[in-house]
This record gives sequence, structure tokens and C-alpha cells, in this order.
Amino acid sequence: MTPVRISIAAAIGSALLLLIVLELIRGRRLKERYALLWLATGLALLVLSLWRGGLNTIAGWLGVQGYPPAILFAAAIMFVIAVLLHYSTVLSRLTDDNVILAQEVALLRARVDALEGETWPLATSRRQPRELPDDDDEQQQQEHVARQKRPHGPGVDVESFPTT
Amino acid sequence: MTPRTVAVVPAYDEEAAIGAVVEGIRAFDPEIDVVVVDDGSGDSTAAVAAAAGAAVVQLPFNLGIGAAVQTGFRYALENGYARAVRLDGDGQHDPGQLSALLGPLERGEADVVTGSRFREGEDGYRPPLARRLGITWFARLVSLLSGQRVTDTTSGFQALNERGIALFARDYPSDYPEVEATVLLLKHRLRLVEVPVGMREREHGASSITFLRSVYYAFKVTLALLVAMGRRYAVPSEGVQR
Repeated sequence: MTPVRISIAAAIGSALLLLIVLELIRGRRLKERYALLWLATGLALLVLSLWRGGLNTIAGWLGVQGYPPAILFAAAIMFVIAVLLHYSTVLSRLTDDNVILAQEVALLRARVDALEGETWPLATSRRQPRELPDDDDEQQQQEHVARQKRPHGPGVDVESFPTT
Repeated sequence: MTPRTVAVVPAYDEEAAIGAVVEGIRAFDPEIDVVVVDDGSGDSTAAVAAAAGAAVVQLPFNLGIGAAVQTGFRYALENGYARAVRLDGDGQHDPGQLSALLGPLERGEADVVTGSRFREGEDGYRPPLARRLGITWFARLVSLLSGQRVTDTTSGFQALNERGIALFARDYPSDYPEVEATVLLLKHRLRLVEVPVGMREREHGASSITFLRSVYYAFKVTLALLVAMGRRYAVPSEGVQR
């Protein structure tokens, strides 16, 4: 039989996990779609720690003799693996999205430059090459500065910021 | 009038070689537009390419060869080119051999033409043993999986028509992509023809493929190929899909 103190500690731990996840969602620091697996983890562990008879029964099914709380660990590990696997899929999708965005930005930028009739490197000198051509070096620098000073959005006027 | 053709040249830190590559293509046929995809180079690859007369698409950071090449095919698709050729930015592909590559496209015999170093008639190229093993392994594997005899699955010297451009603009594998791309286009029932070409030794810099990396890629690509066999493929209809 599971020692009572283990059940209490496990119940407090899983309740804390649930509360923290809910608080993170409330504060908009965790999106619901990524919180669902965590909520399922917290709930399952809470149920397993409070429902002492159930834990023993499951331990019996799986042939765990002598120490039923091992089932708690097993369940926790399974959920953590599920969460990690889910994150890997999210990461893969983000990587793909990132590539597509970078390609779009590069293609759009090339198109804008072509439409504006500008040629490299006046417009596209995002990264300063190690060696700039000597002629009209100064003009390039001014263009570059001028580009950076473009307003970034409503209410943002870079030039009005104190410079010192 | 020849159909509008664009040469896609992926380049990463190739400022020493890229100028000659662009000029070589323009010397072969001034009608061919050249687009250099600068894959986040830290040197002046983009400036040198632009000075040599190429259009430059500059990726904001390094995406890897597959995504860089795909960017070029997307450029070709968006700008309505009827044909694209791909040459590497390091100068190993000789623009003088483009006519051999474009021939089967002009005769309507192929959707994609690959320059193979191992077709009959070209025996000048003897890569190191490990590389040759890898190339042979993938040639056998791809031939087996696709049911068409392919001798060189790692060649980046290619010519494509509109169907080829449309497919690769939509879907192109990531690092060390040529092997998977070969299977991809055969699965989509595009017609692939190999023509013998010679390739030059690198003029500058070192190949991006070291020994450990090739072992890693060999495993990765084999795994990707086998997994991809279980994927469903759409068969593109006639004409260009956008």
C-alpha cells in the first residue's frame, strides 16, 4: 500500500503544477495550446496521488509489487516525454516557418530594390561587408543611416530621441 | 526566340569565386539572367555578384544549401521563367556545358536534366574513396527506390523546365538535398534525364563536406529517403502550378 505521506506530497506537487500552469495561462505567458499537455499531466498525477486504491490496482495490473508509488513516477515520465515530443514537433514547424519567412523577406527585398531602381549595396547593406568599395563610401554610409532613421511605426520618431 | 532562362547560383562565402561564375554564365549566353542567392555570407559575395551583373537575393541569415537553392527556384517561379539552370557558386560547374544540360529540355525529352559525373563518356572525375562509396550507395538506393537508373544523385548541376521549377519551388529538401530531390521528382513522375558532364576542381576554399559530416549526412539522408517512401505524393498536372 502507498504510504500516506507520499500520497499527500504527490497531491500537493501536482496541485502546485496545475496552479502554476493556470496562472501562466492567466498572465498570457503560456498559450493554451501548449498548456493542454501540462494540464493533463497535472490532472493525471493529482488523480493518481489522491485515488490510492486506483494506484494500487494499476500497480497490480502492471506487476509492480511492493512499491505502488513507482506508478506515479512512470506516469510523470510518460507525460514529460509526451510534452517533449510535442515541443519537437512545434520546433520543427517553427523552423520550417522561419525558413519560409526568410525566403519571402529576401525575395521581397530583392523585388523592392529592383522596383526602386537601386543596386547593391546601397539598399541591401544590412550586413556591412568586410570591404566596401572605396568610391562613394561616404554616400553609402549616409544612405545606411538614413534608412535606419525611418520611422518604425506610429508614434515612434527615432530622431526625436535624445542622442546622448 | 529562346525561352526565358534563369541561372540559379547558391553561394555562401564565395567572394573569390562568384564573380567568375556569373561572368562565365553571361559569357555562355547573355540572354540567361543570373540570380545569386547569397546564403547569409559574411564576406562580400553579394556585392561581387551584383558587380558581375547578377540579380542578388540576399537571405537574412544562413539557411543551408537546400533552402538557398529553393529560394532561387521560387525566384524563377515568381518571375515567370520558363527554364532554370542551377550551378554552384564555387565554380565547380562549367557554364560551357550548359548546352548539354539544356538540350533534353529543348527537345522536350525531360522535365529535369542532371549533369552526371558518372555517365558513360566521362571518366575524368575520381573522388576520394569515402565520397565515391557514398555517391555509389545513394545512386544504387535511389535507383532501387525509384525504379529508374540514376548514376549521380549528388550533382547540383541541373536544368529544369516549368514543371521542375514549380515542384522544387514548392518542396525542396534541406541539407545535402540533391539525393532526396531526385527521389522527390521521380515520385512526382517528372522525367529525369542524366547527361555526362565533367566537373572542375574547386578553385577556392574547401568543400563544405568533411568526412564526419559525410557520415552523418549519409545516415540522415538514408533515413529521410526511407521515411519519405511512406509519404504520399501529388502528381502535378500538366502545366505550371502556382
